[in-house]
Amino acid sequence: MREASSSNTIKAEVNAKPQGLKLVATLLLMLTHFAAGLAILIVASWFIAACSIAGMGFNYMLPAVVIRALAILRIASGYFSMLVGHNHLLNKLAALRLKIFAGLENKVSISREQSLDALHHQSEEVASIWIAWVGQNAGILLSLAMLNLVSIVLLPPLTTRVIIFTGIFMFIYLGLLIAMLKVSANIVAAKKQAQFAILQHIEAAPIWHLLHSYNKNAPRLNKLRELEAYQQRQVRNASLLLILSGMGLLITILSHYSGEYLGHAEFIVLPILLLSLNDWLTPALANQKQLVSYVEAKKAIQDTSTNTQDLSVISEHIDAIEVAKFKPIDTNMNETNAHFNKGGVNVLVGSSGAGKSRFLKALAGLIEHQGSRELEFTTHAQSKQHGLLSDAVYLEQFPYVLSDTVRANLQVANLNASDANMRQVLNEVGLYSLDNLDQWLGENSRLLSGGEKKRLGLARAMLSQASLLLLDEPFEALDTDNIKRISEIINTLSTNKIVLVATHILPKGLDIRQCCSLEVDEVRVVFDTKEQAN
Amino acid sequence: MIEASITPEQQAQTWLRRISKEMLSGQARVLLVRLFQLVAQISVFWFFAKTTHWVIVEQQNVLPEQLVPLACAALIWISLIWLADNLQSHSKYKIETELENRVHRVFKNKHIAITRQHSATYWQQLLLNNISDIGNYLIQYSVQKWLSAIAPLVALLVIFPINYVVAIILCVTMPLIPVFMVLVGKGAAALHRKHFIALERLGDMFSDRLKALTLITTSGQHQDQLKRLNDASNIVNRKTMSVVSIAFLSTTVLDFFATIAMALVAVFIGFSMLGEINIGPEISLEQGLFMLLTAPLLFSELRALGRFYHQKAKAEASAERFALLLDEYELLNNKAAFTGLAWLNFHVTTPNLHANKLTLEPGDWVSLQGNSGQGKTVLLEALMGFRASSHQLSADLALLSQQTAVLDKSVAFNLHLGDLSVTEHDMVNALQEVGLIDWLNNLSNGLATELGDCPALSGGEAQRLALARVLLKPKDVVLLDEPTAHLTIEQHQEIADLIHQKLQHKTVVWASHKTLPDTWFNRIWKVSHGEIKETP
Repeated sequence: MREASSSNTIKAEVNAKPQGLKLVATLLLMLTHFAAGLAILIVASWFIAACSIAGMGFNYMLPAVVIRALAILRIASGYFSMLVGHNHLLNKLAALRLKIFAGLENKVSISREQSLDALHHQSEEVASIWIAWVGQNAGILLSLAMLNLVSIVLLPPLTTRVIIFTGIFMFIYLGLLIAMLKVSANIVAAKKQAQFAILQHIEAAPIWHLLHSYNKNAPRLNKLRELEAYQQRQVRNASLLLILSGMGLLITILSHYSGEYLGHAEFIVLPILLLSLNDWLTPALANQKQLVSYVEAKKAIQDTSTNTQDLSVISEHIDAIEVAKFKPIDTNMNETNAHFNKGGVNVLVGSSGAGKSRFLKALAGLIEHQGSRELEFTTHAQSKQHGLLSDAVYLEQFPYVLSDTVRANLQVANLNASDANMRQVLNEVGLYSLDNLDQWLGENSRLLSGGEKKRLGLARAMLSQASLLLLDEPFEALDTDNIKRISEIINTLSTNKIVLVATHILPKGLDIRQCCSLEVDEVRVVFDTKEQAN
Repeated sequence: MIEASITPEQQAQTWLRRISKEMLSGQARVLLVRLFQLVAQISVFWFFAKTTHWVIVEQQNVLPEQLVPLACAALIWISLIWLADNLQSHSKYKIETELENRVHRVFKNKHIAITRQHSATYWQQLLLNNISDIGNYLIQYSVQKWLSAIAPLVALLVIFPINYVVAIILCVTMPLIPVFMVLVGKGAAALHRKHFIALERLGDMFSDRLKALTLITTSGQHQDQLKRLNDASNIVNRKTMSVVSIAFLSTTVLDFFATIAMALVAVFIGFSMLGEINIGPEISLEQGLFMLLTAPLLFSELRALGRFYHQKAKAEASAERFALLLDEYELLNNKAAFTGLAWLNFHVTTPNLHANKLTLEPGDWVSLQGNSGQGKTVLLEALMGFRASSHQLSADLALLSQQTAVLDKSVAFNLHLGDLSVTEHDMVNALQEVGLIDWLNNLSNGLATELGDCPALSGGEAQRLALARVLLKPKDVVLLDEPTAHLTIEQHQEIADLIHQKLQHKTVVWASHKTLPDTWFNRIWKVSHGEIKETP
């Protein structure tokens, strides 16, 4: 079913789920978990202290029950906060990813593939902010509030000191956050630089043996590692500073105020909280890393719009294309003048790196072009409009295999293709092993070889209804038998479609109508069909 | 073969154990300081309990000198945390640098024979992420694993002399934790296996479809794929929830025991002090408080281990890659003048390649023939020493393939490749010889021009540049692996002629699918079905 409004229905579906409620529930459960943990510590230590000095009338049953109730509350809220929180996270992640994907309609990536690939974990980092950072930090604030409250209610003379301590904590907390944000920008830059350096290094592998010194040229990641260690050190120092100030406060309280509370059980509560600072307050500092990566990930996701190009779509059926002074934008390629129409194969020759792929992409409208591209539609109308031709199939040099069934991999070219039709096409291109249309392909299951990928791509082209076929190096990585087979298929396709083949191999059986070279000084038609015969 | 029965997982485990053993000293040092840190923490608790007892039970003022031990213990504790963290990050840095060096050593030995096997993204991931996965595992997870086993023993050891009943309560609950965690873990794993295929296949669909963006955009199927993604994520989310609802119980079990043990100990201590319970020795506030503070230490290290648990899975996945990469092959680096070879029974093991006899005289021109996939490239790589083989060539060799690798540096660097003894005059001469002198003259800065800034080299020009590099080095033997495969017929003829002319007096082994004049060669090596046959 193809419905124009399907994306709207999907969005509505996702939004209809009560995500807000789940979030509130998660946060409440997380807070309960935090508070119960701290409360056990407070009540239990007070209880012991009170028992040690208790007189006859001491009601010991109530606190004992409270302690056990708090324990159960803590365990239950812990489990359910994880469960509800995870559910919220998964739904939020799904919604975010769908939104990102929906935003990429009619767009193509203009930078390297990994920038889009990174969206996988970046979306995770953005979606998990509620659970991983907001919830945790709300818990911290609640705990701090409890600390202040305990001191106001039970130990009023200590309140000023506790408030000062709270201030110190906030100072350390914010200072750390600012410092980390600063460093993380450097880390992101260093990481990008390292990625690029490794890529270049690997691409230079064929000449490593000629290098005067391999080690001098090999990229080392020491700088990145040092930066990451530096960030870790910031967190560590902040934590230690916090513990140090907590212990300082503890000792001041013991030395200055114990005199006022001789024999009072409630005195124990504050020192106990300070002593276990390392368990309930310092983790909050390490947690700031989550916020920092959230900020970076969010920025990266917003950048996808600048890393992708928005294309307008031309959906009329195409009868012929005339190009004049045509070349892909921002290249040093020569300009091409040619006319492409149905019947016979149009061949584009040139060595690798001459820009054949870019030429085909520019013709399909995947990248911008200079000069003119005049489209003649089946309606006899003509247009020089720029934009993506929806009536064209661009077959990549290494056709992408979707991680999906064979059927889905073929139906991406034509949604209405029948199973019988698909099997027939697979037989024609010689992919007998993919006869089971439900077989799963892709990275985690059946991998296709280079030649199989080529033929899968061609099978897509055969199923497609498009009238313009742009084939990028269809003969590379194939043996002679398959080259012959593929040539015949391309010949058949070219009888009622406009077919352009970019290649540096010219098979004998190919029914060439015209042959353009991108590498001679002036791009020209090298020969036409009649000359090819001899 | 024996290797066939070893799964990649087992290989990874073996490798991980080996590297762990090698890096033991760093790990042991961190563990030792962490243990001291634990002892310092316990002594802080002890002095604190003492002081509190003094205030609340004895109802005496605290004298400053009574606080000195507490303050000292706290200072020692904090400095030990600092020391342990520092040691940890230092060891991590060392381990990661060492691993990086090993990867580069393999690169340096095997060159394209190894890099060709995976995409550039794979190597990026290996160097950027997998190395630090191993580093984290060795220095955080492994240390924490030991700590979570030792810390409870230390805590029990100090509680036992004070009150054996509390120690026994804790002793009885402790073994229950691993038992329950294993049970829960098994349940979750079984559930995960049940949904494994769906989770594996559908889980990565988002990044898969992003990679396929061009395909999807050109085929106009964005809406349909969006719907497919939505369906997939609904299924994945549902299945994941059913797995995690069990998996989370593992954390909860730990939480349960930690919290309940703490509550029980508190109530037991309180009731003992009140005289409601009379089991075991009498307890004072000092002892009770100390035990209350120390008891959580039985669980806290185990809980920290839970936080690092994902590092284990990551490291195991990374180790699979390293186990395959880092074997013990070293290249013999003899660069003597080439005096000819006559090898009997030459063979390469992976993949299988064999020759009864292989002869190469100085000045020979050998045509290396065979269909693609028969092992021509393997033979050339073995001659280069990039692959382990029965014989090694002792000569100064160069390999020209169709990947010419133009570096993003100056033209000069692209020619001398770091060898500063090459003069400018030599370089200009070399460019003259390969017919790139006009190209050079058109560059704004001559040899100093950055190659990133000048017009992209065409396939033919890049091959000429590659030839110029070889001419600049005193190489006796030049191996050619389809240097013209990607060129058009006309360019192939031009470049082949140029190569023939310039390398006439050298020893050459040339693999080419495109036709070359027979008269150029005085020897033929034919490769088929893993066997090399030579005809002089």
